[in-house]
Amino acid sequence: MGEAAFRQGVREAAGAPAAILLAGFLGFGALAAAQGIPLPVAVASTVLIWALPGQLIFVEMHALAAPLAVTIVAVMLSSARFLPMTLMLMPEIRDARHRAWQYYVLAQLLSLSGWTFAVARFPQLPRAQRLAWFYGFALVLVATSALSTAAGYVGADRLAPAVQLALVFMVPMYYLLILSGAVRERIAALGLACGAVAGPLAYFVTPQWSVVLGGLSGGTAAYLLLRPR
Amino acid sequence: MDLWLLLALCGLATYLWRGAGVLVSSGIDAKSEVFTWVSCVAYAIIAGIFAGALALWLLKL
Repeated sequence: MGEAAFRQGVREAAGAPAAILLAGFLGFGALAAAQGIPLPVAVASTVLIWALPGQLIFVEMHALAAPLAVTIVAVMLSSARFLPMTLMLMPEIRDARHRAWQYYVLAQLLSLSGWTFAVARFPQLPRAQRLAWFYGFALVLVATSALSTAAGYVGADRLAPAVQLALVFMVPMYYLLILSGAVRERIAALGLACGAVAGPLAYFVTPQWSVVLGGLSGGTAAYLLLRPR
Repeated sequence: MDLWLLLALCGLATYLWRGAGVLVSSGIDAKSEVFTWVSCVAYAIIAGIFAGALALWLLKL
């Protein structure tokens, strides 16, 4: 792999991208502490799940004492976006010089933030350098987020609950702004709007299943609205 | 219940989509209807989670 491209990825991540995740995972660490998750588990969830919505479900479901299967189904459905994200990115990265396992490592390093920047950056990068660039970029994001989770956890007492949630929200808000100009804009806008309505409504029907029910009903509603008449 | 086991299963549940994306990326039509529906549901779930948490946050203020 290209060492220069890797280092370039590291440099480009060590700025605004890392700073926004630092804030978000400070908030997540504090929330995890408030819900009684042990510190090592909270930090490990950042590396192993590496998706803020899935991690919030993991923490919330634990606090609600939800059944194991319900938690796993909810996390799984919240992570479904990784399929279209990976599908969109892979054709841009595939190169004869790479090994298959390198793509499967890349899949674990992928996040909404890394994906957003990669989609914007790849057209200016030679194909052979993209994988190394992404490794460097994503590793900085994972490391920053893991350290921030620990820092937020330890400093939870000094953060008001409102500030903790505000920090967590900065991340999706920031990327929603970036994504607003994305290719699949109509899908994103309709899906997000329908989900924002269906999610809270589903909570009144069944709190434990609200993530699943809200996502399926809101997503299907968005899909039906999208279809040409 | 062992929290580490739950975390491992949650990590696996997330990786399922990531790995599947790599596996089928060479053979799937990115413009198919199923793909569109999956994207809609994925976005709706993300928005639902954050809308719910936002509502709870506003109630606490």
